[in-house]
Amino acid sequence: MNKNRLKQILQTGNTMLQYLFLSYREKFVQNIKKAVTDYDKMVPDILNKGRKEMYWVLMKCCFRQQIQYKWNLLFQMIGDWLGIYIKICIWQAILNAGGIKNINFEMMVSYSVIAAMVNGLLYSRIAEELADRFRTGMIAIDFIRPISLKWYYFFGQLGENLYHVLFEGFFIAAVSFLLWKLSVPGPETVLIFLISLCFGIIILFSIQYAIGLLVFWMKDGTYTRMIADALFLLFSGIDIPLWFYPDWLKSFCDFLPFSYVAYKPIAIWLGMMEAKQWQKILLIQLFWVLVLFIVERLIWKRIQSSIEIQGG
Amino acid sequence: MSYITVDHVTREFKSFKRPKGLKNALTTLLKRNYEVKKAVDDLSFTVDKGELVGYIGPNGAGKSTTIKMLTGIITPTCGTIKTGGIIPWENRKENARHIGVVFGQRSQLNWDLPMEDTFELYRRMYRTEEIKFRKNTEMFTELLEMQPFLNKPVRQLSLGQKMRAELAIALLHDPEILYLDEPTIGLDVVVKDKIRKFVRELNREKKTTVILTTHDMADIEEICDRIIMIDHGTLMLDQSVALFKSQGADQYYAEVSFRYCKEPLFLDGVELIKELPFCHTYRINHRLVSVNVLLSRISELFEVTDITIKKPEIDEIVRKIYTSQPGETSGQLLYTK
Repeated sequence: MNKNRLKQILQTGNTMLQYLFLSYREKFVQNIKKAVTDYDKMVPDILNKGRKEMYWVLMKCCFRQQIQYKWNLLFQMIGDWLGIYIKICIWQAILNAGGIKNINFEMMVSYSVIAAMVNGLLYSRIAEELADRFRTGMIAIDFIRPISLKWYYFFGQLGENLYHVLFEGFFIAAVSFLLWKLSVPGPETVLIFLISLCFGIIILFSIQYAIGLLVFWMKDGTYTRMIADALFLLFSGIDIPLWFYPDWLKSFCDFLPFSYVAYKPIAIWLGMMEAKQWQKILLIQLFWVLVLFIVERLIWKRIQSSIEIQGG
Repeated sequence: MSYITVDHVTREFKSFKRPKGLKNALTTLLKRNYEVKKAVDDLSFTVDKGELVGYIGPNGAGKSTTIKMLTGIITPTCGTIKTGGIIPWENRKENARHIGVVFGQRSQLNWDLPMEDTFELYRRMYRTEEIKFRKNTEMFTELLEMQPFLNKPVRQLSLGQKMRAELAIALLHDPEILYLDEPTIGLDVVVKDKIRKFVRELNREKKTTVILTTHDMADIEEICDRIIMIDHGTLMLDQSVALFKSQGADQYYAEVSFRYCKEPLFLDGVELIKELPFCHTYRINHRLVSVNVLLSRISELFEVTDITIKKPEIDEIVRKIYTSQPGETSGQLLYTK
């Protein structure tokens, strides 16, 4: 690669970054470091009343908490980047060996990159955290606050995830889009993708929370958590796009909530869904949100009377 | 009308009975024997608004379980509790708005954030008004001397600093009831003193009802007006601190330092409890020995350089109660208010 080419890439990279961060403030591009320490100005204060405000502050707190570990960010960036690169190499090999109809290399790459971003947002330690706090008795602290346990964990986790996606995800995405010359879908598709992704996040966090609650019952949640994680990994399409699966397995996935968390939203982004299809997806996502809400209420009702707080 | 009512409350815990031997242990996978233990057993008491109550008892007496029920974290097996007209576990969030809790062994501070940020988060959490919040932060910062560490991440604070921060956090929203569960555990004398003074000051200024569990009787002596003692989940005693201390008043201590001694003091009702060269400590029962007789005997036997008379500490009375058999003491100790 000669010097001119590199310069060109860097220049387009800069424009790309600017485009992606426009909604957050151009300042970011001018001085990333300043924005990191001074994030208050960067994030518009759109929510300002009552509960919303509290969750907003909570998200900011978790956000700020992450900033303290700047080396984490660097290594995570390197790790995630390697992950995407390796995946893309594998997909390329598979496509060369004999492809799948309707799927080309660009789609594969887009899928991998978007999946990495989505994964960043979906990352959740809610179940683990609940189990951990239960084991040490720290859960008592969560109960003496006038807040809902569920939403507290949701927004805390979301704050953390947004931090990673803003500082790491977007950077990786920008570089990838540039390097492989990927196309960005129209604003409508992006909007539908974002709505569907929000549902996806709520679904996954609800599953995590419900699994986490089981710890009050079973005293240890390691294996339920592992099962849930494995199911997510296999059936959500986060690592392997579901189009590689045989038809029977694909339709099996349709019956589980997991594919609605990752695969379906990404498919919307890739423009694989027509109006009718994405409407159906959003409806089914809504259905899952409701089901999980009811499940979680039921579990809560059952365990409430038998909650024990360990330790003196 | 009492502010906190605890009415015939019992809380049971199922604990798994672990049998001996591998074979028996394996059968428990299929069938398990549980042992039902009562952490709190038919407990009743009431507390009025603005009272400072010391809630004491030996380890495992059920103190923390009671606090957890009062704060709405766990539900009792039977019986009712009302704090300020609310049943805590049914209206956990509503109840949480009116109480402040400090667990000496559990931190509610966020490890990675400075106190200022946590304050801000708690302001939003309890929907504290801006003016009240500012006033309280200023007052607590001053009273607890927190200025030097307000903007340091919590993980860099010392235990004493952290505990002061915990106290401030628990009180930012002006709670009506403050539960302190061993707030002075592991702290040095200076910090302990700061915290005690602060709690008293708070009670005077805001009429906050305080329920304090502790093993440090100096906490009780300096903060509380009233003692409630439980053991094995049942009420042992409920009386004012002054009355409680008078229980030990039939005996006192005399520490005699001397240059020369003919023979140790030997009288009915006088007991040598500590013997050091040139210093004896005697326990004296004042119903059997008058001070006059004691002093004249001492001056006969010793060439005294110094003499100190000490009343028994609250600590000692408590130790006596804890170690005595329930059967023989419960009759004489079960005073009620």
